[in-house]
Formats: sequence, structure tokens, C-alpha cells
Amino acid sequence: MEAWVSAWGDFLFRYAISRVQDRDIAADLVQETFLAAWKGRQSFKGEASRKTWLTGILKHKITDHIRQQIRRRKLETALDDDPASPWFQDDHSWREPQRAWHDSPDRLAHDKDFRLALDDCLSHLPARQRLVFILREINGDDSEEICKQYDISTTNLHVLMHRARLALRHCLQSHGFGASS
Amino acid sequence: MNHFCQQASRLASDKLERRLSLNESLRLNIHCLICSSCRHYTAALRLLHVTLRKTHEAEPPQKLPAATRQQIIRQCKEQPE
Ligand SMILES: [Zn+2]
Repeated sequence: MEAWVSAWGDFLFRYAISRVQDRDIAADLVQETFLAAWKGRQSFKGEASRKTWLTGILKHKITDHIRQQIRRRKLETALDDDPASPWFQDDHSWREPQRAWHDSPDRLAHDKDFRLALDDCLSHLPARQRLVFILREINGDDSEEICKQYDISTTNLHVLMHRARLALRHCLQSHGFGASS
Repeated sequence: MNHFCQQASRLASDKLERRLSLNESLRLNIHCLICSSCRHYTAALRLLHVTLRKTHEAEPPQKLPAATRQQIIRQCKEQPE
């Protein structure tokens, strides 16, 4: 067991953090994963690598956790499905004129204030939107896998990404990132 | 009269998710020629897209806390063989 934890503990922890955005929850999920793997070690047939096997267990734990979270936050999920957009007027024109944003991705990615603003803006997204957006846009996960794992259609995924981008763009702008001075 | 901006914002996002059809791509590009808001929004999404991927790469490596490690090992030892 010690060998497993030292070989794959950090990898699984990073994997969990990038999906649940919370160190404590990520640590709990990794712990549950190792425990389940230990209990089920006889069932490991060695077809996949040990790492793939552990990652598979962790993926299930993460999915369960997120489904629970979504169920618990019914209100937020309802917001997810609300088609009315606060960014447009009835005639589908922008409510506020959009301004140009010139900046360097390299500079922004290493800017502490930008990272803080980004975390804050992400935390205000409805649960499912946030999750899908992070998996897709930050972690660069495959859309097909996201759709399968969270049981949504490709069109749903595109709608969630679209809404998340609108919200983020405006939230970041309110933090001073998004319009050129 | 209805504006195309709301649809254009969706296409600007979809463009980062899938290949737009020729028709969609033309409509978006032509609209952006005449609408500065949509032009700026489309450019901003691309900047955000590139930046977010870079933030992932810039992430400091995270280590599984030592307390969790010990707990895992202890709990597994408590399991009956
Ligand atoms: Zn427009």
C-alpha cells in the first residue's frame, strides 16, 4: 500500500483537484479511491496499468461527488437551464457595448491578481457550468469524454460553454481584466 | 429588427468547440466586420481560451498532504486480509 501511495498519490491528488477545485475534498476522494482499490485488489486483473485502474476508480468517485453536489444545489442547476440571458436585450443586441481586450496570455497566466479574479469568477458559475468549463477549457479534456461522464449531449456542452464564457468575460472585466485602458 | 449579436456570441464560443459550417463562419465574419462589439467579444474569447490553457500549465505541482497519506496507509492496514 505504501508503495501505491508514494507512486500515484500525488498524481491522483492533482487529478482530483483539477476537477473538484478543493484540496480537502480532493484529498478525501483520493483516500476513498485507495481504500476501494485496496479492498478490491483481488479484482485487479492487470489488463490495464495500475495507474489507469486507480484513475478509473477516482473518476467514479469524482462523478458521484459532483452529481451529489448538483442534486444538493437544485437552485443552481435551475439557473443552469435558464435560457434568458442577462447580456442581451430583447432584440438580441448587446446590453452593453463590448470593448477591446488586448493583453498577453503569458503575462496573464502568471499574474497573481488575474488568477484570483479567475478563481472568484469561476466560483460564481452554476455548478455544472463551472465543472464542464474547467474540464474543457482549463484541463483540455476531450468533449466526448465529458459528455459521456456527465450524461449530456454535445449541444448541451456547447450551450454550457457559451454561457460560462459570457459570464466569465463580464466577471473578469468587472475585476479589471478585459478592457484595454 | 432583430440583431445577430446573440447568435454571433454563440458562434464565437462554438468556434472554440467545433468546426463551424461555411455558412456559420461567413455569417460570423461578416457580422464582425460591421459590429465592433461582436468583433471585440470574439477576440476576447480567443484570448481567454489561450490564457486559460496556459494557467493550467503554470499551475504549481500539488502534493498529497502527508496526513492523508498516513490515514490511507493506516486504514488499509485495518482492513481484514
Ligand atoms: Zn454584433
